Amino acid sequence: MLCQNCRTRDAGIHLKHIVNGEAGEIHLCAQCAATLGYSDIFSGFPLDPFHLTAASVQMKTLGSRQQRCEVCGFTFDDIARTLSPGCPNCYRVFRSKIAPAIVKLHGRTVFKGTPPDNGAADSAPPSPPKTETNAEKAAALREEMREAVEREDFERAGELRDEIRRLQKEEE
Amino acid sequence: MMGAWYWFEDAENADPIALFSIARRIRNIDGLPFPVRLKPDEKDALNRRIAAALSQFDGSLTATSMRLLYPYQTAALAERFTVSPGFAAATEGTALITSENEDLSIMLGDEDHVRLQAVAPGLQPEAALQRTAPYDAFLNRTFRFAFDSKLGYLNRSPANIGTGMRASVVLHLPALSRAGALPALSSAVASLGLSIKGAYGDGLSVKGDLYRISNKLTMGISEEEAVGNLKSMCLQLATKERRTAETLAADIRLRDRIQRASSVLAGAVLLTTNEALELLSLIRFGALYGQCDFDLSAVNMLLITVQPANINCLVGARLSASERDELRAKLVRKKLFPAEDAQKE
Ligand SMILES: [Zn+2]
Ligand SMILES: [Zn+2]
Repeated sequence: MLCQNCRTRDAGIHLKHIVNGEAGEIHLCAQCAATLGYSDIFSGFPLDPFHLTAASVQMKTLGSRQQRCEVCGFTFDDIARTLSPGCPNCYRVFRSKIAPAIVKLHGRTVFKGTPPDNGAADSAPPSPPKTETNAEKAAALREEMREAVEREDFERAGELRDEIRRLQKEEE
Repeated sequence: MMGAWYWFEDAENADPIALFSIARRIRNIDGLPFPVRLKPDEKDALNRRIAAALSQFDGSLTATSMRLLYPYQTAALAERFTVSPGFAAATEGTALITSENEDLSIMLGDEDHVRLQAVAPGLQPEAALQRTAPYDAFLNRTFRFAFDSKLGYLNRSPANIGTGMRASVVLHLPALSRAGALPALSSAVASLGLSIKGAYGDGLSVKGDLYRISNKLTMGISEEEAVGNLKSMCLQLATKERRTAETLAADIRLRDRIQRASSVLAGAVLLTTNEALELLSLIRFGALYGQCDFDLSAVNMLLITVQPANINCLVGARLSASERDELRAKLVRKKLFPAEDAQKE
């Protein structure tokens, strides 16, 4: 498929976008994606730097146990494969391996912005969010179902009703 | 969601060249996988917790799960810049929190856990950025955003780490557009770490002579510097636009086109989106240089509301293309020619 912008290079980047009031896709080559400022899409960069580093890292660590992120369980190979860290903590765990990618993307690696104001709560580690109980989920879904009925979206309301029943069965 | 009025109906702050400014802060919660690694019901649960916390902080906010909206409603949100096109195209586990007039929008569960966005009329990217600050601080206190002193905010895309701040301004540049001056200017724009593209749709084609200038750098630069660079580039473009416009305004062919545009808008029974945007751009140019008399804020508002999904929203249903064209022509008459329109009814 050819790039929609220059119509000469191959389109390697496919982005979801709103076209004429509906969701559609646009197809760009890496160069056009970069010049048009689609830079917040990671794949919009000509070379995927993770992939290159991953290949060389893999050679070295072959046979040895791979390091994993303790939050999401990702290895560096997983990051290279999915072209993205699995969670924010991956950046800390694989800092030195990710660094070349960051240099390639930004040309600079130092943060110069305003840090978050953590106030007095700084000493407390972030507590993992508690998971919702089925009863809480069901209550939220019931609210959604009521709204769906109000909108006369009975198909959606039916789906929600089935989902609530399923949650209640699990509870029993 | 369906407020009585939207931020773009603010008649006070209409600027000749800068239509509006947008600032966005991209954030993720520490200790949690990115949304793409969460199951749909985990995403929904997280979105509900964030929405519940925000409603305690600011009771005037409205939250909605995006899957409850019809596709045309979602598309309309993207058309009026309340959400990004990427967010509108996401299929599950996303939720949206907005202020009454949609000048503030908080996108949950797409590529990142949280994207805070604000819009301000005219050339005010710093005001838009400031508008999101209390919500950013509140969410950080409540959920603790992932941050590293060297890398900044740890967001899903490595391109968005650092400040995680994206600011842009939508400019109306009919003269530079007509003079073909923009391709030459885009390298100057790029040298300041900015990008320029069409403001509407996929950004590849330019409609209504509307351009969106955005910052690309998020590392090695502060939020204030990035916004400052953006603002100074917009002021430069505005000066160039004004100079070019002064020489173009005397062109008799352009004057003719502006008068024709005005007549077509007054009399058309059907108007496609592209035609409406082209004609609105012409009469906006004419109004600025004393060739016709239109209220700038009415034209600004139409430049957003003539888009297809927003026309659907006027009647709350998905219309056929020709039904939309008819309704669009009516809307334009009502807003630009209220006196004649009242006589016709
Ligand atoms: Zn291309
Ligand atoms: Zn991780």
